[in-house]
Amino acid sequence: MLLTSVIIVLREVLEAALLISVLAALRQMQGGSRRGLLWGVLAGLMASLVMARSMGAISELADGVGQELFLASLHGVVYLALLCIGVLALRESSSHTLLMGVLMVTAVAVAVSREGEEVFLYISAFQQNDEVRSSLYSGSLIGLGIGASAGALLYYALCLLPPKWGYRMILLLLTVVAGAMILQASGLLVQADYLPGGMAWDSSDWLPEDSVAGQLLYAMLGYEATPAPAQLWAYSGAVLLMASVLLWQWRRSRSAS
Amino acid sequence: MLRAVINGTLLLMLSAACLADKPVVELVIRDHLFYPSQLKVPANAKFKLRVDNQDPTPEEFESYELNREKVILGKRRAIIFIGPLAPGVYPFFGEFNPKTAQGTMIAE
Repeated sequence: MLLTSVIIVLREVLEAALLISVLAALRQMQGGSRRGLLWGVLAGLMASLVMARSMGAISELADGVGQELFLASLHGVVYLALLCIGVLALRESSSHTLLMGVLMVTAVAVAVSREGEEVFLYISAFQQNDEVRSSLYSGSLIGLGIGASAGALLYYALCLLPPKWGYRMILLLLTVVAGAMILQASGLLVQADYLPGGMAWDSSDWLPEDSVAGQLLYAMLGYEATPAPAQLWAYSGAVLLMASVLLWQWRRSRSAS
Repeated sequence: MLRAVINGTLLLMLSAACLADKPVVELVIRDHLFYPSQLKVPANAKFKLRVDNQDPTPEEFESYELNREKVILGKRRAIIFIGPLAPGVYPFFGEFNPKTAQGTMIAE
């Protein structure tokens, strides 16, 4: 029970923590306040409580695939927010605007709500059970601790880089995380039968998804050992779009200065 | 342009036709166990897995091999589309009770 709780909570926390650290590092580099991100986390936690309560009803929408459609659209929102954040970050004049703040809070809140919802559902499944309650809570806290530490580690590593490289690294990570969002969203659409299924390859022999490396790669890149072809197309399209928009914006800002 | 529209319409009709006759496979969750724990499913075809969670608590159907993950709330049913699968054995488990809730899908 203890180990199960650690793993479940860690998996969810890790994804959100990595996204938050990249955004916090970007904020730090631009000399902006990071308090907004905290509001994003709080708003996300509250939203996840509401979502956990209404997931039963959401699941029954759209002929039983409401859960997939709902979560896929949340991933889509995070992708769009990250795309806009990347563009704004490259425009000196707009990196401190209200819009940037709103986008960051939105990205964090939506990401936290999606991960938090699952943790709350998991905890709700066992909190009535006296025998397992203590291992449930301690396991969850350990998972939360490890996930948050990994996020903090990434944040400080990014801040320690020379600004020029830190900036590039952040934009690269933003693109990668945004791509992972679309990879997951398209996976959910395959599961809901809105996109065709199938298997593009099987790398589970040399990098299983349930290994430590596999889990880390899943949190960061959305790694899947047996992705569907439709997922790969969606992922490549999403990464390509974001990379080209960022490159175009970067060139424009360089030629302007 | 016209050809693209016709192709698109045909594709839509085709997928609607496929939607209508997808085989349905039933799975029940009771006392944190899967019934049946060995599930025969059609190979090389998309099918509809209908999971009936009879426990009062939520469970997450999860399978790395099938690339599927879905929370099914207590006393609720859920639908998961799976496949087309190559013939073989695909383990799945309940992430909230991974020690007890285990099963395998045999595609043939």
